[in-house]
Amino acid sequence: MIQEYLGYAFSFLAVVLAISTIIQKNPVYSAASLIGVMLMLACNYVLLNAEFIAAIQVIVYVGAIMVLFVFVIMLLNIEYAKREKLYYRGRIFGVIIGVALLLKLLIVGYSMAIKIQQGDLPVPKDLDSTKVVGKYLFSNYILPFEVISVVLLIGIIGAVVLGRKERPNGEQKEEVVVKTIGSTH
Amino acid sequence: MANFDFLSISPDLVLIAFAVLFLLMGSFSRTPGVHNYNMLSISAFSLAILFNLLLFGSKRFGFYDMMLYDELAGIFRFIFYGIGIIVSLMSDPYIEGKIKHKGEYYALIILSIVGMSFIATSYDLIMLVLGVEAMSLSVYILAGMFKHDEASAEASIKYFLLGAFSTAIMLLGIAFVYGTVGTTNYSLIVQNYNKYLHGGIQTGIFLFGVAAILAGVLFKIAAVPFHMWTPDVYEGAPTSVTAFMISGVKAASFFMLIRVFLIALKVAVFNFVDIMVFISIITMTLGNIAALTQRNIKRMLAYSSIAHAGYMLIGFVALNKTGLAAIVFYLIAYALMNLGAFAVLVLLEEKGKDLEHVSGCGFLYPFLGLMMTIFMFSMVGLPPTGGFMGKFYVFKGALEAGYLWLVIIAVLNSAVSAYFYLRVLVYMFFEKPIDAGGALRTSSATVTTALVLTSVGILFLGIFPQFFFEITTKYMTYLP
Repeated sequence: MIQEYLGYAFSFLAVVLAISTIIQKNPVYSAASLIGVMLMLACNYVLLNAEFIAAIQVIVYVGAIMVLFVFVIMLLNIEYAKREKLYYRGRIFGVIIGVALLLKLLIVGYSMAIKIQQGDLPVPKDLDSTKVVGKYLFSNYILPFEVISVVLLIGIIGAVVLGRKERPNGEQKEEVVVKTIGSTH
Repeated sequence: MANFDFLSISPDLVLIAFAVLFLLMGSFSRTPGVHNYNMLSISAFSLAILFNLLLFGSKRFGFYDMMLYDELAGIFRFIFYGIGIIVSLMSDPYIEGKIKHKGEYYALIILSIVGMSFIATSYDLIMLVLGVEAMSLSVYILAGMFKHDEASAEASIKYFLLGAFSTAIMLLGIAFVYGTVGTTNYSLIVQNYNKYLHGGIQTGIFLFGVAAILAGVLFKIAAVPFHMWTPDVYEGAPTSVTAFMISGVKAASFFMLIRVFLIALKVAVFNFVDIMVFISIITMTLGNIAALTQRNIKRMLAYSSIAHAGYMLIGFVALNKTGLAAIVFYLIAYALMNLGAFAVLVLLEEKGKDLEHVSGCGFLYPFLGLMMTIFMFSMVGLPPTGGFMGKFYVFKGALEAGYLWLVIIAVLNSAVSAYFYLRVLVYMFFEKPIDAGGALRTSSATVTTALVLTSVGILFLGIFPQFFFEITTKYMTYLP
């Protein structure tokens, strides 16, 4: 029972921090709030007996992705984002859609009871969650696991191709012309 | 069921091997500029077609039921690989000098088609998402390959941000579906739905999940509430990449719609027919009306692709064998005519991108004029072209399902569309040329081959439609 209340508490904090992520004006505070959201989600995973996912959540999101965010904020040297002007135009429309979606989810969520207790894949009782994930990753989910390598390869190609500095062909020629003129004088 | 059926993914394995080879060639070769990447990629696709031909006709589950290879998936693999061949044929002269990483360009096209092929054979929502990601990520990068063109960069970032958002919504939908039925496997979803949810008020959250998945799919199709990205992205991306997006990505997305909603979510599909009717009507009407005012030919074709998506959705509204088989037929004709029209644009782009710039080109370059005539007639839907037969079969399916008024709206729409398609021909043949002719810089034998292939394909589909339509009807086994 205490687990249920803790779950609600963590979820509530996650929602509050998520709202804070959006409305903070200083991007560093936004990033810090987002770290809080990730930590609250990790706590919820622990309550759901998924310790491995919780650890991965903290390592990947808090440890890697958020650090990257903060680095970018530092390098770009943004102090205050001008959000009001950016999002003003569609705000009313967005609020209406958002509230409608929220109401729909609340109504649907309260009017139903989910009958299933757990997923279709059996979870062996004697294994901890890390072993269960490993077992299924390398048996039932072996094909998706391998296909992810293709997706990651595409990501790497994109980073290299789009990130590399390139000079347009015309510019190089101009430089050559300038040099020859300089040498003749 | 640990059936490691490597034969069923052999075409994909071949393609991945070639893509990796291209990447290595770029870095290890001493003369990186001289390789015929396009010929290599055509041979890769030909090999893949060969392997697919060996498989065709069988029905195979594989890899713990993560994938199911059936005949319709086989047909779509043929479509994707064929699109790959034609795009490879028309790319090379166009990207010459503009893209330094030609190996990466072809590798990304190949990997994108691998993603499409995984969508076609998916039998689990996880495989579906991975296929969609592989397909879209490659296209986001391809759209930004012209690094010194601002429009190209804008197209890439816009497509990436909106596409990532749509994939997130789709994943949310999958999470809801998993939460209610406890599985992501296509056949188990149906089983568990009937076991746990059937006939109760509990289906609400399941339906919300299905709606979110539908939103993700409709974004990729560019149906109307989710179409905002289409004109900018299709206009800004390199023309050969636009041709690939408009034919390949759209074919894959439509197959995703058919496969997911008629195998896995067929329990819920009838709840969405009314919405689909509405979406189909506004998609074709808005696409056609917006296309009327465009001066830029690429942008006009982008809006026309929205309109065509609307026509194809009619087949999905009908939800009968004729309508669904007609979507496949329409997709083949649509891919051919768009690839052809973009191959002409690839050649004429050095003149300019607007209607005025192609003035008189029909007589300066009679071959291109003839080709453009065939493609534009096919887009309007005039006989004897594939576009006409595609529309005919789609409307036939809708009539069989009793949607007479929907067909009337669609026919009125295609009458409107005649104006802007034929206007291109008016400019090409009846306006005075703005400059003297002379050989086009980008003209080459490969683009001509692509043009001949697509135009012959369209005329074949238009004159002997029965041949393909019987095949698609025979193998359209997904029915609600």
